[in-house]
Amino acid sequence: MAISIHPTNDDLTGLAPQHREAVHTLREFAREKIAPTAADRDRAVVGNVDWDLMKQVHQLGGLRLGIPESLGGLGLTTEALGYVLEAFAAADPGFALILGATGLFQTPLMLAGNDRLTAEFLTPFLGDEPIIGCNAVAEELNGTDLVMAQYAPYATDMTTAVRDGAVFRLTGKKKYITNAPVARYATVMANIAGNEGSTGLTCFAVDLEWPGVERGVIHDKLGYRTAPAGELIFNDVAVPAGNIIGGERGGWDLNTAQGSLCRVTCAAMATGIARHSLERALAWVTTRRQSGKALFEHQMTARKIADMAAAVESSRALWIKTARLVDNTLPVPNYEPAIAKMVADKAAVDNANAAMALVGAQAYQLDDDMERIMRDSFGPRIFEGSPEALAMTITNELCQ
Amino acid sequence: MTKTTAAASRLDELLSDGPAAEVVNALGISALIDLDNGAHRTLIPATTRPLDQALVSSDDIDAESSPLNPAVTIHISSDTVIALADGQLDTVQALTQRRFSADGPIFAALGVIQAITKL
Repeated sequence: MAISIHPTNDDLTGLAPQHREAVHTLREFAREKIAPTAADRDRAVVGNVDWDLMKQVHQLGGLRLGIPESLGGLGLTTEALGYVLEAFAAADPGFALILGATGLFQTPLMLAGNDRLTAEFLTPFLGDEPIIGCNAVAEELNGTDLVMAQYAPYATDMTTAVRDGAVFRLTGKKKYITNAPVARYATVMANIAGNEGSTGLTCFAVDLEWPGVERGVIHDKLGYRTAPAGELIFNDVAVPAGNIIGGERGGWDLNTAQGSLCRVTCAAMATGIARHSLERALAWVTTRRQSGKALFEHQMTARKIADMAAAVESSRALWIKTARLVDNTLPVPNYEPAIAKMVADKAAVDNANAAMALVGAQAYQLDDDMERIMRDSFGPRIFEGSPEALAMTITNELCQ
Repeated sequence: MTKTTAAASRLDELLSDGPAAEVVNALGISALIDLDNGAHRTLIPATTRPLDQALVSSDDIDAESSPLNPAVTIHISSDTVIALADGQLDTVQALTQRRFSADGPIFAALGVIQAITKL
């Protein structure tokens, strides 16, 4: 029997039965419904989503993956979520990102366990109609200065929150925000006025239909084009002080903890891209013949395929191991998620490069899906910590 | 009364009636709270089937309290317990400021922390 490069049933045995079933169902949906239409979404006009498809995935629980079962969600652990997002990313990384970014919005609310915020911002995800969320952190001038706490004083022209009685008024612009053009809700990181740079970073739960919220430029991205991204502009938006999650100036701690949790599923997504590249390469090297034999029978090709397979297996082994750790350990570890993401991000890019080279002139055609995989492969290195930011986290943890 | 004793006394309320006990009972798992590095231990037995079946595998759920094998163990200081109970600290702050550690399903641990905020 040929070796499978997908997660095995053995990998899933540690999951609760209902989570295992959810993983199988969603993986099948990704394979049957998402993968065949990924190229169409990649070429579509940016800024919107296929709401019919979103409704289908919503009915399977795709927009409430991590919401606790007691509230009506699937309650997936990080490990279960990883299997789902790896499968979606292998089909269409942009689609995976829509789901992941919605989960990123939901996570602080789940952590807070505040009944009012739960009713206002989580319960709507349990309704019949699909709703999308986003996590608004990045800005024009502030990227890594919002990822590495030691850089906080250097953040410039941050989105600001000014206290006004029982509300805070938010003013500023967020940029490169996944789901921004289509999201209903956002967790917004703003700096409380009077604090240098982003040292007063605070997390606010915001309804994007409130007065003063504007959708700005829609980004026409190189990859992940299924996931709409854009600007969110806040013009003196009144946000109740009770919508703060993690306390005033608690945004940095929340950002760090949530970032580490998220890096595990980001690693799973990058593994999905690496796997898709390998699948594309395997389809080619097992059928293409040169010098009287299949390509894989040529030694240098065999070496490339082996390296790609090793990259997929090692990335997966790492993110699974890390997911099991973060599912059962508090405080949220920083080192292991950073390692897992750094390895998987590299695997995604390296495998896409290798597959492109193997498939050659055919892959260089715009109507071959390989070029989309190539473009998408760079995405994981940009969001939730660049290789440089991850390296600093890893080294800080090793050397303290 | 020492801080440990005061905090332990507050934690005992998790075993009686009230909003905090309701939150813990809804988790349906056994939890061990290790206060001040072993100075005091509070065991919360599993009393009902969990609403979230995935919190622990069926092998781990037991109807009898088991100090030797709780589903989740939380290590926390009396200062943190009192701060949570008095409303000076919320669940998210306790988590992100690394004011406690836990071994076992993290959302179960967070459920216990949330229960402490309701003391």
